[in-house]
Amino acid sequence: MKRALVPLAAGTCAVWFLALAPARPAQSARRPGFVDLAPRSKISYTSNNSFVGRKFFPQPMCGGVAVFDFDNDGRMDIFFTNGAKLPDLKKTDPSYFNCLLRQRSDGTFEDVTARAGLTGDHLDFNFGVAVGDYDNDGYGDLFICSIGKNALYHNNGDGTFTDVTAASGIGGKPANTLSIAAAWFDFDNDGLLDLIVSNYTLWSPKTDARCMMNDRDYYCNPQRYPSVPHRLYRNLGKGRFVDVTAKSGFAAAPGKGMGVSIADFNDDGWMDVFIANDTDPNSLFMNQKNGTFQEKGLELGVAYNENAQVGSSMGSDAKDFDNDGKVDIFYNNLMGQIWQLLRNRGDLFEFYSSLSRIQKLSMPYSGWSNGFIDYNNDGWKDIYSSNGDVDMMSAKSPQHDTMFENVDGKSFVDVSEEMGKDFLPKGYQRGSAFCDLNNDGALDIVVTSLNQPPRILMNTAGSGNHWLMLSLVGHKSARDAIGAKVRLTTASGRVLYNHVAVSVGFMSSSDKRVHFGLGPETRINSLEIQWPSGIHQTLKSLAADQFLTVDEAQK
Amino acid sequence: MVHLYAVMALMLFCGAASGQENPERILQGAIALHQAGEVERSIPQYRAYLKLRPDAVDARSNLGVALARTGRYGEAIAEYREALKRRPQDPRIRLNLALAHYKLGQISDAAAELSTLHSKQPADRQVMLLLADCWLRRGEDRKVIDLLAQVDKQNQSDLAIAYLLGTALLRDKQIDRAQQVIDRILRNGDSAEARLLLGTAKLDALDFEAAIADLEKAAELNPHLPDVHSYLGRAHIQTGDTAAARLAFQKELELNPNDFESNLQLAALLKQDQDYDGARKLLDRALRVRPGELRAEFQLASVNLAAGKLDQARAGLEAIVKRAPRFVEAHISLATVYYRLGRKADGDREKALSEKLTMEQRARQYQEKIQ
Repeated sequence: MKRALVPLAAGTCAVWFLALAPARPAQSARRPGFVDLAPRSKISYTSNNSFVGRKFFPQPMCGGVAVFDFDNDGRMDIFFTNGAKLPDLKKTDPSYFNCLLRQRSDGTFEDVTARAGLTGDHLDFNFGVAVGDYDNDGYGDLFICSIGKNALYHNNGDGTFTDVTAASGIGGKPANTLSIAAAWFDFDNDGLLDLIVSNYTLWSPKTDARCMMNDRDYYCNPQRYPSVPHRLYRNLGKGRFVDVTAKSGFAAAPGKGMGVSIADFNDDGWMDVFIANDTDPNSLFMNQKNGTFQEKGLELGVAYNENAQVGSSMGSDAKDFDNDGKVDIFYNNLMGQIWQLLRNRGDLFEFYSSLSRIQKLSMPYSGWSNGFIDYNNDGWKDIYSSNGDVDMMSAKSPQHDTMFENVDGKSFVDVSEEMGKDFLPKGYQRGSAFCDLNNDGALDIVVTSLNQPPRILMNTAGSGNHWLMLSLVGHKSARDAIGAKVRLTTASGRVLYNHVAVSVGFMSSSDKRVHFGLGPETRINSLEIQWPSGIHQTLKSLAADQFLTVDEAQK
Repeated sequence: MVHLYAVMALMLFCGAASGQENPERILQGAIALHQAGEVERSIPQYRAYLKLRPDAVDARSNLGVALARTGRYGEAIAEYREALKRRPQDPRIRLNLALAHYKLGQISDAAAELSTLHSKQPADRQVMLLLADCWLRRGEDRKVIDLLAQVDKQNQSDLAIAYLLGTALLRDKQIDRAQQVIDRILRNGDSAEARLLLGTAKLDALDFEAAIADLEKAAELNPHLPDVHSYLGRAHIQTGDTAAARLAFQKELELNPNDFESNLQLAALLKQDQDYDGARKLLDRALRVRPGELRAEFQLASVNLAAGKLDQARAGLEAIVKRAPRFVEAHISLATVYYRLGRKADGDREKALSEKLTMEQRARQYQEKIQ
């Protein structure tokens, strides 16, 4: 087992510490905010959904984000997906290109898309992106969801990527299937990352329904379109995948897939899949440990709201928000509907939005990407959401992001207004990813907004609380260790839980490192890691405020 | 309870010279206590008298009034019914019977008695308004419109009639007609009734913030106006402010414990807060107001489901889907119950049925839109 501090680039630190508030003493913990550092870099990317008045069904979903260190230089980089000209479905000019931003040592970003071979000029309208090292070579690869052909890009390790979709066997799907989001995970615990793709419906420009009211286009209700199966691809190794959708049981439970979240919900050592379905019952595919899944959303209480009705489920995340050792679920909804916080009771999920005040806080917002993020390092995971209505029909349609702060694992308060002006521009925010861009132990957020430049929201990190950031490296498990569970006990005996999760929110992929806020505590008694391989590993007596790389033990 | 019968002078004087067991003296004592506000003490006196004179209709009616005054509506109803057996045409006893049912939340029974009264004395304004109110509470809006539309034309300045009619028209989605009634109320100046109607109209138009403003104003102008807090609660629910909604429903129920919607909606909120016993109590009351009402039956079943009382939930939901086989949410909840009871085949069947019904419902909605 190797423990190593991730080295911080001296130049980076100096810049960030000048720009941002210094850490404060623990006893005077303060609420940090966010500052948009995107304007400091020359970024050409603007999400482009080809909106010119005529409304096409897929347009509201544009601008997936991934944050990962593609060149392994210790600094997080950013990838964005983009739309295509409609109804042609072609990336006819660079305004539709996808975009890879490499972080320089001074914290600014350079556009390396063309050099990396990631413009996607041969693709069509792209939605979500999932990062995973499917060949365990130490470099994160990219899967991109599309209206037409999905794409798998292999990271060559030299700053370039190669489209290996055809050779991998992962690109196949029924014609006109809208693939919205995807998640890498090792469903059969064989040490190779498999892929689940959240599919929405069948659509093409020819079948696009036009909805109009008073001579004005509006986006049609999704119920006009059919539901489709989500697709599961099993990694055979050597870059080859096989579609096991039917065999695994995923074909039996179609939906209109949006967010996809991976976690071991019943703590049996096998990863399960939650998919938020828009205007359809949500799906919870429970791993049967034999290559198959059973959809148990209804039985376990996550398919419908508490009045047995469907909502417009959007992005989702699955984490343990109350630190009781059981993974909970959050998904957001359109305004007027309840954003659902579903508390895992062990045997089933209970509706927790009313008790936790999420119901009241969320009512005015239409949420898209989201996630549990302990933005203030107090040990409680807060809920971030990127917001903005589907359509541009009223003054309430453009919306700002929200941060609901987790007070005590039981209730939340809206602290959005205190997050700073860069957090609050109104628009049609869509994708978002969480990461520690400047390696200061505080989580940052990258957000896209329809037809706007992205925001790179740096956490001002002034809470004074302590933290731990873990990089888990699987050996018997897949190298990315997605799904590995971590139980942290502080010196005072406080117990915190987290797990490796990359596909978070909607169309987005977050920093794979596992983050813990520790509040005022500076020492960790023990760190227990349950790897997907089944190996259990314990580390004792650790200091806070460090980046720790943990290699999976032999056994 | 409003009517205490004046007792005939004849009764007061009969047997004045008799001893302790003289029935008329007992009655005299009962009436004296009753009139002096010693209602509780008058009740045994009335009972003693009726033991000796079981056919004394007025005394039995007085006993009913006394019982109702002390909140013993069930016993009062029994006495009124007994009195009506002997004097079925007495409108005052029947009105008191209707009011006792009303107070007990037995709105259907109250409406039945009021209908009888109304058929015999259609010009009685109090009976008509009470009957309209009962029908509104039962959701029978068309009946209210039929009852009041003509009277409203002849009594344009009667704001109580206008208010009830306007409410029924709004609920029945006859917006243009409702607007005319609202305008007339508004011409009489700012009133709680007008604000309430405006608020409910905005609630129907999904303009929740504006609805809250009107409803709050209505409550300020007349905090005792029936329904105002109930509608305010419903508007707050739509904005997600469940704490404010809870307070509003509680206020309505303080004024009118039998308000169906407040009982139902507050029960749903209590269910969300996992106060299942509290929710059940409210739903029991809602179901006394509207026996067999499907939404209330469904909420009760879903409270039982949330509380883990699976057998009770199953029984409730099975009864609902038998009565309303196209009630999708009931099928979904029943599927959940079956799964949790380990009855997978039944769960699968209900789930498939709910999916089929959903598809049919969506196809119908789509078809309606095209047309």
